[in-house]
Amino acid sequence: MQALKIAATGMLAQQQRVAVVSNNIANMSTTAFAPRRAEFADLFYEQLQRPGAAAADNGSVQPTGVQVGLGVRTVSIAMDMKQGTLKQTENEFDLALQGRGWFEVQLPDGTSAFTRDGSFRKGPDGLIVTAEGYPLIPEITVPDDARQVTITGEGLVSATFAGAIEAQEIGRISVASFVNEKGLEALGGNRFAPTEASGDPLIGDPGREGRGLLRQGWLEQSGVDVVSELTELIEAQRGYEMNAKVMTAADQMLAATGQVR
Amino acid sequence: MDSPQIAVLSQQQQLKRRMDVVANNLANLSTTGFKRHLAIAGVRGSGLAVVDQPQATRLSATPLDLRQGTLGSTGNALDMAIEGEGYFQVETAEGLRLTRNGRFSQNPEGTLVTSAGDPMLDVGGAPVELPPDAGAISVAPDGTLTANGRILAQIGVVNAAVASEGDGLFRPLDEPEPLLGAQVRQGVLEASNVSPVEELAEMIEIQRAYEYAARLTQAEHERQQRATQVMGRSA
Repeated sequence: MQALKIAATGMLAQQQRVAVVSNNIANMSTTAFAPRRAEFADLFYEQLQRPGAAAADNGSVQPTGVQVGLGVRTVSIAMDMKQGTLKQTENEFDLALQGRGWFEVQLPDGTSAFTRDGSFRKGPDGLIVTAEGYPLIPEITVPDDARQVTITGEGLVSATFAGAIEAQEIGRISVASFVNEKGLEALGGNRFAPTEASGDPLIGDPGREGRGLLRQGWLEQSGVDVVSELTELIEAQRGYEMNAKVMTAADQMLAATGQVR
Repeated sequence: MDSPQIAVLSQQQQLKRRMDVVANNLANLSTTGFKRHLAIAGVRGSGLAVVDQPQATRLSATPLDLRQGTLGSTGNALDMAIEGEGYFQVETAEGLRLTRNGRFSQNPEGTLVTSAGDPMLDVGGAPVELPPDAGAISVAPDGTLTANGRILAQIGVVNAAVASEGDGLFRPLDEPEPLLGAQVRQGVLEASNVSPVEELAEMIEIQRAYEYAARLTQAEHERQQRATQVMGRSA
């Protein structure tokens, strides 16, 4: 009897779903967090009689065949790329991306990573850096005597200085987009690395070629919707119970055979 | 072995198989686009009933239950579901396959692909490619895919007799026919059409039938034992 093993694949799948949901809920306050969803697919089928094959008994063609599926597996845990709601912070280096796009940041090992978390600060040497201190690419240095920094939707960074009336341009923030954002590899710390599945980053000005615009003084909140996560959690729990019931029933059937002398 | 025992044993085999089908349905409770299998028992052999003779049975067919699964909104522009009948076409290494799982995404070349990376096909049987700067994509109920008012592709929805193959794919058993009047919904996915209540009811029925069969085997065993004892005494 396969039912025991089949039920086990079902329980495993639901367990994985709970793990994904719990990670989503844990990140309900993480800036620009995209919730993940576990995706399942049926496993292969044991062909007792292929559909369309002639039945052995009387030679007539079987319209449906006899196929017994062998359970379920997780095919992917993909990001739900929905725009999170924006929250005003009044911090002049906080940037939210409205629409598609990623900020590129420089990691200490020389490589770069991509993030939608725009909670930047002015670093000790005037560089614009992430909350963890990684510089934004392209590097933008804010002079010490800058009074006010303005960042436009298209990424133009300008500063006003004491005694000057006109604002002075000090840099331009570019944004990367990917053909398949869901193919990015999560590195933790809100950072992602491009993979073969995501394709290479397409870097350019915000607001062009499908890339979103920047919004200074705002942050994108986590895309986690707690209500839908809880619904998902309840569904996963019930699914787990159903599969556990199958396991119990299969066990009892085997026990019934065992009791026959 | 006597025919009652053969009949009982074959029934137990058949019930175990049916249990496997129910287990697979329940394991796929959360599989997008999954269609449950029915487990139908039939009489083994010629099909000509012999009166008063116990008959051997077996799992004779596992047709797909093609009922619509509930449509749940995901908000992803490339998620699609078919309302009513029909299948999306997918080009796999093994040839043309059909699916009801409309969770598509773009590969780095911009082609619309399934979770397994196989391209989804348009009405003409060609992969659907989206330009990288396409912007917001919208899908009309007839499968027309547009971006910024420009028509990019027409998603092919077909109908055919199918058999499950795993990975959410179905193998067409005859030439797929284009389905006119198909209803494609954007931003939603079709949930599995497994209803836990139905499956659990069937499971309990199978379990009880199996236990009765086991009891019958036991009773038959005891009857033969007594018969042997009685006959042995009279000899």
